[in-house]
Amino acid sequence: MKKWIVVIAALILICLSVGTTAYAETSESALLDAEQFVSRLTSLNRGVQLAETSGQADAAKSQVRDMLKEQFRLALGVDASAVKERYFTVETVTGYNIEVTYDAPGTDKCVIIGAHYDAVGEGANDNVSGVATMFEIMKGLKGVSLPFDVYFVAFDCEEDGLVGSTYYTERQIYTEFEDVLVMFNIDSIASGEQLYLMCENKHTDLADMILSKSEEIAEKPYAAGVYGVYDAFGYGYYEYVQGSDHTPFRLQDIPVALFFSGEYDMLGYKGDGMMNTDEDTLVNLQYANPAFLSRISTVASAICATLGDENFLNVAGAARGQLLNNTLLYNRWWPSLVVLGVLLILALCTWLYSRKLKKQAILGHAEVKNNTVFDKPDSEDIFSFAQEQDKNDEKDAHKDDIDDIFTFKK
Amino acid sequence: MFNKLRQNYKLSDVLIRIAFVLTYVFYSWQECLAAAQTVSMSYGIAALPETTVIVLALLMSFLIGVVLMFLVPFVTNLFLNSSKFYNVPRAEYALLAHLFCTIYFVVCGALRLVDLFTPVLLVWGGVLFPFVVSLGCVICFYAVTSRLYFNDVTRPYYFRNAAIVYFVAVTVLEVLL
Repeated sequence: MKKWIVVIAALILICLSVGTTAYAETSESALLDAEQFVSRLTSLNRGVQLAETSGQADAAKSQVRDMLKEQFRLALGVDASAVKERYFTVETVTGYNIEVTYDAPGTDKCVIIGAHYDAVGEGANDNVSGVATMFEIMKGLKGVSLPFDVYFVAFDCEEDGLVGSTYYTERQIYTEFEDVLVMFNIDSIASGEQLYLMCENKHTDLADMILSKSEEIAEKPYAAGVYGVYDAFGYGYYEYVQGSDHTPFRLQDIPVALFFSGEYDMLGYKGDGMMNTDEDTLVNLQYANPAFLSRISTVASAICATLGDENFLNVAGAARGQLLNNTLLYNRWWPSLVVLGVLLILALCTWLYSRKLKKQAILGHAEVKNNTVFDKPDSEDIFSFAQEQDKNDEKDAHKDDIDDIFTFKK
Repeated sequence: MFNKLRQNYKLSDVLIRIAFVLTYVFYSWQECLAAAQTVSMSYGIAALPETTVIVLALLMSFLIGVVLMFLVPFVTNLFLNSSKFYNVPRAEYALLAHLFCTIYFVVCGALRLVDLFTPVLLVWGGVLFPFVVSLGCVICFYAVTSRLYFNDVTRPYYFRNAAIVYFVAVTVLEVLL
């Protein structure tokens, strides 16, 4: 009897362990849909948020990266070797960019698609929505043959000042900047009233092409809002427009396309009020915008359709030529140099005029200027503007003033 | 015009001071709004209500305008005393300085409105507009004050000192900062 009990107990234990293993493998290995992906990533981000020690936080972040790498690999159908986790450290900030390469044979040209995965709190909108969109794009491109490589990058440390993307453009990029056709950046698309696209600080053909793929995406109103506030991080011109992970790429003269959501008024860009706070949770997002999943599929479809467009290579190739001259237009040193040059000319004119004045001082009069201030009582003159005599006086005085101001001669 | 202004000194003084503060608000509202929004963003994006941000910006702009209004006579007095131009009426000289600053604020404020329609002139306009307008205002201010308060003998010294102050101020404010 005892033997049977032991055997049955052993069988139950084996079954349980096999079942647990099977469940674990399923939950880790199965390709998720967009809703499951968002739910899982926000849940893992909450784990990072709730970590009490740095060790716990590191372990939670590691879980986030593992989940992303696995899902990206499955979504794109590539080997594990195509998915890389790259460590970087800049001053006190450390992080990991996750890169997936979708190779096209026989070409050096490439497109970069990026979204940052670091978050404040759960980060349901900022930027689980962006990473989920990138994930959906991978699914859409799986098995599709493109005439260029596609580099997918999940950037880390965006909230610390675009550290991951800056590091990527300065140290990690494995291709020539000239070969990068376009960088697509997806950041916080799930909340707010309107979905926006921003390519350049003016209308471009690339923006036209992307906008033609979806009616739900509007072009950012470039001249809306008050400028100045977005230069707080010192990125110069591009920070005036919309600062995110595309900024370091645009500063390298790579055409970019940013997808984001919100609205604009005189004060500039308005988010949903929850961005970069602990309020950016999945529950709040579902309440604020129940149809946020359709935003994800809209952007993913628009990007996939753009990449698959037969004119994409031509438009993307010409996009570089349509970029505003960042150095000339938005570098403060050029106008400052012009001012310095004018000041030098003015200094010369000042010196010449000073000599003229000194000559006049020798030949001229040294009369005492006796224009007393209160030569008439105020009460007499305050209400005297209508008097004819005063009008004539004023005309004469005005004539003298004009003569003196513009002729500079006595 | 200036004779009439001098004859009605007290009324002119009050009106020009009011105009000075109001035109400063017109000139600086964009910067103040941006600064108020930065404060708002430090609490999270769009953390403060829009009306609060606007009121905060206008209040900030108004207060800076009032402070500048009191600062102008201080600066002009400092200039006149350090240059030893003791015969120049201080209050009237400051009044004229207020007047030309007001003109500067109006013209520059109007030019800054361009940024609301296109950001193309954001940097070049931000440097060149104030420089060109301030140059015009300073030349007019010099022409008026030199005619009113200086004779042929004292004018070269006034011109020299005014030019030094102008070049130092422009180099520091427009180029280095």
